[in-house]
Amino acid sequence: MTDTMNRAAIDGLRFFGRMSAAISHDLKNTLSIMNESAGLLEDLALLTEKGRPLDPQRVHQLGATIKRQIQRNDGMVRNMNRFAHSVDDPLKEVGLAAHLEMLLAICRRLTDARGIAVSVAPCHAEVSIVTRPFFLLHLVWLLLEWGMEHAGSGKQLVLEIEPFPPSFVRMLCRGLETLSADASLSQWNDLLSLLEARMEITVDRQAVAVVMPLRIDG
Amino acid sequence: MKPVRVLLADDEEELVAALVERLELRGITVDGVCTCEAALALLQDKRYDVAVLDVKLPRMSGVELKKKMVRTAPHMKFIFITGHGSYNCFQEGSAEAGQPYYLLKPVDIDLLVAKISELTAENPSSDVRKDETS
Repeated sequence: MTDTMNRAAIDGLRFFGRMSAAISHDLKNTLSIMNESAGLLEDLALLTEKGRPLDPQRVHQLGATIKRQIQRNDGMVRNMNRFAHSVDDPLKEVGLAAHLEMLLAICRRLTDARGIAVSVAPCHAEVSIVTRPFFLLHLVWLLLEWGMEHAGSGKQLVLEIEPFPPSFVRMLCRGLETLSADASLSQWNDLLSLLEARMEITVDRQAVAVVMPLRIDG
Repeated sequence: MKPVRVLLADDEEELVAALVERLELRGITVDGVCTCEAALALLQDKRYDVAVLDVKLPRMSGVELKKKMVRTAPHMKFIFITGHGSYNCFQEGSAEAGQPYYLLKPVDIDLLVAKISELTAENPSSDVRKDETS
């Protein structure tokens, strides 16, 4: 387990860095919009000083833009904080859908760059699991990265959570149009081992499923 | 003075809208788009002197977009803007546009205007007051 953990930790650091860079890019964009909106307000004020009439509606619009970006920024920082804390505890109870939504929000820029729409399917009931939160996020990201190569012309991946009684849950990554039954999944063995999970290919559903326990006892 | 025409491409719609307005207040004619496809479509109908491109655009990077644009408009000059401060990104962007024409977000409007001016060897004012009220 030690070697497995060490390899996963080193790969995990790379994943952590990549997600952090994606967040920093998003933050830079919101800052840029606020910068240009504030700059435009200054421009309009200067022009008003020179006698050009100021349309109050423009000021309202720019104020609303800045407020929107602050809210957007706040959401990003909250996700960044949750992501950062995912390494705090070796084992922790997480709401699975919320955990996945947080990851998708963080990596949205990376999936958009590939032209792939990724979403979490609505669940009938929230499923909570005791797991290794950071390693689960890493596994899902690797699955998405691989899935984007297999999304085909649909260019849409959906993460779906299904109960798998009595003591497991199944997370499907659907939309893998070019998936073949003999696709190799061994590259994720370390993470699967740490999560006490297994992967299954279901070609008829164009999906890869991760079956994981509702509780890892550690 | 020959009017300078700029094509701005960034996937952040509100950034494009504000930058277009600010550049136009400084005497530069600007079309702003949020996708590579829209940028390439505009290039079929209009002539631009400079393209200001986000390095990271959906479906196609700014660098790839530049290569496609050059095929249609070999005279065009390029400025890259990016939120990414990584060394790899800097290398990629500055190799394509030249190091002085790779700007980090948030962009200083006066610096952007100065770079556009350098590339077109024209001298649009970076001072909004001169253009609008003279």
